[in-house]
Amino acid sequence: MSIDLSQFISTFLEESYEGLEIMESSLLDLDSADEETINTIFRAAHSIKGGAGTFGFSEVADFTHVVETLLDELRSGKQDISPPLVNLLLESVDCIKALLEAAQDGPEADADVVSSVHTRLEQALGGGNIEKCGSEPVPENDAQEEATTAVDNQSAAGRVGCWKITFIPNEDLLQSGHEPSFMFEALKDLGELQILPNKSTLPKFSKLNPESIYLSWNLVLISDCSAEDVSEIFEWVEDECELVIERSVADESPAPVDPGWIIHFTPFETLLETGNEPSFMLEALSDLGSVDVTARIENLPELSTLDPEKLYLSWVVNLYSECSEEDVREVFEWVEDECSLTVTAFDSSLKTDVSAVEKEVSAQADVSANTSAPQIGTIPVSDPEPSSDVAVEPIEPSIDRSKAKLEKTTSASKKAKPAAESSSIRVDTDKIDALINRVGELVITQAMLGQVGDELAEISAGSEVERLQAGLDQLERNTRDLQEDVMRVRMLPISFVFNRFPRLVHDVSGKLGKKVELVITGEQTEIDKTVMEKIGDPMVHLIRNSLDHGLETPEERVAAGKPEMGKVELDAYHQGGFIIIDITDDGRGLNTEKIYQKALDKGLITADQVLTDSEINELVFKPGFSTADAVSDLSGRGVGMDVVRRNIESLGGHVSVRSEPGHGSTFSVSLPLTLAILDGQLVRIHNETYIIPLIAIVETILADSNSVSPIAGENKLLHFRDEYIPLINLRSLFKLPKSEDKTESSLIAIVENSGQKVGLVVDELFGQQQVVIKSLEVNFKRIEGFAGATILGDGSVALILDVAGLMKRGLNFESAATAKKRNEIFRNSVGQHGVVA
Amino acid sequence: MASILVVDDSASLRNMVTFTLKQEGYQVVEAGNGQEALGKAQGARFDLVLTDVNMPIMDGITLCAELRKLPAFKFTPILVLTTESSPEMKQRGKGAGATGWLVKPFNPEKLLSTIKRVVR
Repeated sequence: MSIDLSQFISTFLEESYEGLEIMESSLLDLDSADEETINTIFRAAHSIKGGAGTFGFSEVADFTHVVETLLDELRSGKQDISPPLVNLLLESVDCIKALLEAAQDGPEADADVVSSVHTRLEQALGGGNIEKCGSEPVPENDAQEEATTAVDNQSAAGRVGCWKITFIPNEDLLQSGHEPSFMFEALKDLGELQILPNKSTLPKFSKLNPESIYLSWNLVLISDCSAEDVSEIFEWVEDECELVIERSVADESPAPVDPGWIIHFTPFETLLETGNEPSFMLEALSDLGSVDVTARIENLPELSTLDPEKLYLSWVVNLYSECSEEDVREVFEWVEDECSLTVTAFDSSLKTDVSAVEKEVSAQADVSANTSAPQIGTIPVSDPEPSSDVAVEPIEPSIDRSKAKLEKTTSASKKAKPAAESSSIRVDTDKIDALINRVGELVITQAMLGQVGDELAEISAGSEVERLQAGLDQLERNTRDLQEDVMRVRMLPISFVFNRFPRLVHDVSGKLGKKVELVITGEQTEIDKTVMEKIGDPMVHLIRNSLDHGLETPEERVAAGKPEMGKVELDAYHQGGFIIIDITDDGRGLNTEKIYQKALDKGLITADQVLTDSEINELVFKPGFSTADAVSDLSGRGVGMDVVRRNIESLGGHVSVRSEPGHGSTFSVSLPLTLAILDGQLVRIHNETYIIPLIAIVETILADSNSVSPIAGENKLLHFRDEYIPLINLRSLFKLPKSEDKTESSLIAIVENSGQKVGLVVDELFGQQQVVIKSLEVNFKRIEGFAGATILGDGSVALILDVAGLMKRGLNFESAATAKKRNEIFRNSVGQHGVVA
Repeated sequence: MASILVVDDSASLRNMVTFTLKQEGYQVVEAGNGQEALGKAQGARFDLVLTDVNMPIMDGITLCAELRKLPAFKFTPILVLTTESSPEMKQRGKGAGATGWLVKPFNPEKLLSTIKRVVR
């Protein structure tokens, strides 16, 4: 039978990502050597390794194996936890994540990074030094190669066409332009190559001359090539190295003349209590070949004294089969210690299985429960050189186990965290989206029915109509509840985003040499999954920004009379239909003078402009702005605050900054709870209903003609609350006929985007309503100024306006500039002072 | 058909094992950790217990020892699923009363052939 494993892979991947998150957060929590925390990390790694192996992600499994081994050393107290180790493990978490993503059709994992971390993990085993050794004269991945080749070096030695090469280069080999790794590459072209470096001659790092070679190699080449082929590769270095090339003795074992085994199996009386069943084992033997089974009953007691739970029989089996002794022993693998077992070949002079010999030898040496030592049905192979001379010494320094162990046993002081129990099911988001869509349709239908009901009630009365009305009311309530419930399915606590920030702060503050405490509150606040997925990157940038630009260095802080440890607070909470995320630091605050000067230098503003402090702060969101004196590794990744703002606004959100010089600054991000529905203001323009997102609206006013002043052409400015606001006439923008209405006052919705206010002239204001957003782009080309559409209660379609797009289309430079200019003049005239650098 | 208790904290592994066993017609009861398994074992009988070793709350080794204390499980085969193929882990399992072990990673074929050593 075959079973398609791929169906379990997505569960495995999700599980693994969760596991990695647990590893990461626990690692960050690992300051104290808390046993349970280490166990948790170990378990997570262990599960990933197991799953990866099962589902065919061998790269992940191999890598995680090393991580697990290291964690096991920490767990068992063979090694102490140190910050470099924690960092290395964190890097490993990243690598596993990258490898998993690569396996999941994601971008390829950076092989250099992975192999470097792998190497350092190997080095860390047994307490080795894990520093990166950039100047090591040999390819860095030798340890890794060793690991991968050591596994099967036994199987390789002594096969047909097997060359053993001992290559000890002179120290100055590199200086003649040779590169051992190239030679090995050439050998690889001849066949299968195993490279076993010998590091015993490697000096201390401080004594290491990067121009010299300290390594020597044992190579095993499996190939039918001639000795000349091999020596040709070393032709140029013959005089500069010690080289031994010898052919391994061909070792193809002839099959036994009369293959088969005599098996004596005498189980202990208590064998049944282990759950094993001798008859199954005998059957398993019969699967290997034909069998003669003889049961020996001489130990069977009188029926009166017979204990039905005990086993009194033993068996002798003649097995006629070409199977190996291993195969036979495997049948009894689980009961080795609960029986006496001998396996003897029919013709005991022909046996070649080296590993079986070794196993037997070690089994004899180890005085075990096996009372009657098994007769060895094997003799050593005739090869005078068993594989042992190929094996290299282990590179790991031996571990002082006893000492570390003693220290660790007393450390289980911290209270174990209760394992997070969750009763959740995993559902494909597509299914949820389909459900939400369906509910959206239902809401529309319900609204339509409601409207019909209302109309019906107007023209006729009677108990039927009343009952219909009551039913429709109930339908409305239930629909609304249903919609809310369904929306909540998509909602996840924002902790999913926040969880990555402790690590970020740990890494970044370490690089910057700043001491930072991260305080997270409101992480249980729920937010739509899609919004959450997209808010991660802008958040990362904002936090980096706070760490990099906001917080001072410890010295500066002390000088300013602040505690050395800086603080960054993340706070999420609901406000209206929005979720607000505040990122607050207690750093130096925005330097308005510096920002003003910089904006001036970059030509973002002109010298005659007078700006308020908050307007100056707004400048940091302008494209092409950066206050860092030197573009740092961290914030200056080519992504400015303008991109942050753009990303947030594309989610229908908003970002602003408040700052108090010397005391810190707060970046405040507000986001819609969901992208599927929206609170909208219904407006009429000409004969059509449109929807303006409520989040964009500052206020709606009825302006008389006095406050509207025409400037060039069609453009008009609204003078309102001491501010000049450019107007966009939606009728003319949408190329609709001019209004018949000749009254002098106009209805204006003042909207704001990216700190710029604009008045939208509309014909009529209707109510406010939650609308379900339908994408237009499935069927239509994207048109700037429209975010989508919705279906109203009467079944008609209404377009949802996109304020940013409208501003781009409708606001020409002139009217914006004029508004700005007038604002300045106005401000000057009332004596308000901007900051001038 | 035989009934099997499958204990693993990893849902993917558990799903795979369960799926494989059910395809072969076995009845399967799942548990996410040792404690849950022990709860499901109370007053029940199984023809086989397959348990992971490393699990939160109660590990597989403890589960073995606890199960063996129940009269109904005195002779029940218990196989531990483990990635640790080291003799020492096997010994720990044996010491706690496990019948045998199955080394991860394993494929469905290996799983089925292995459990046939103890279940008919």
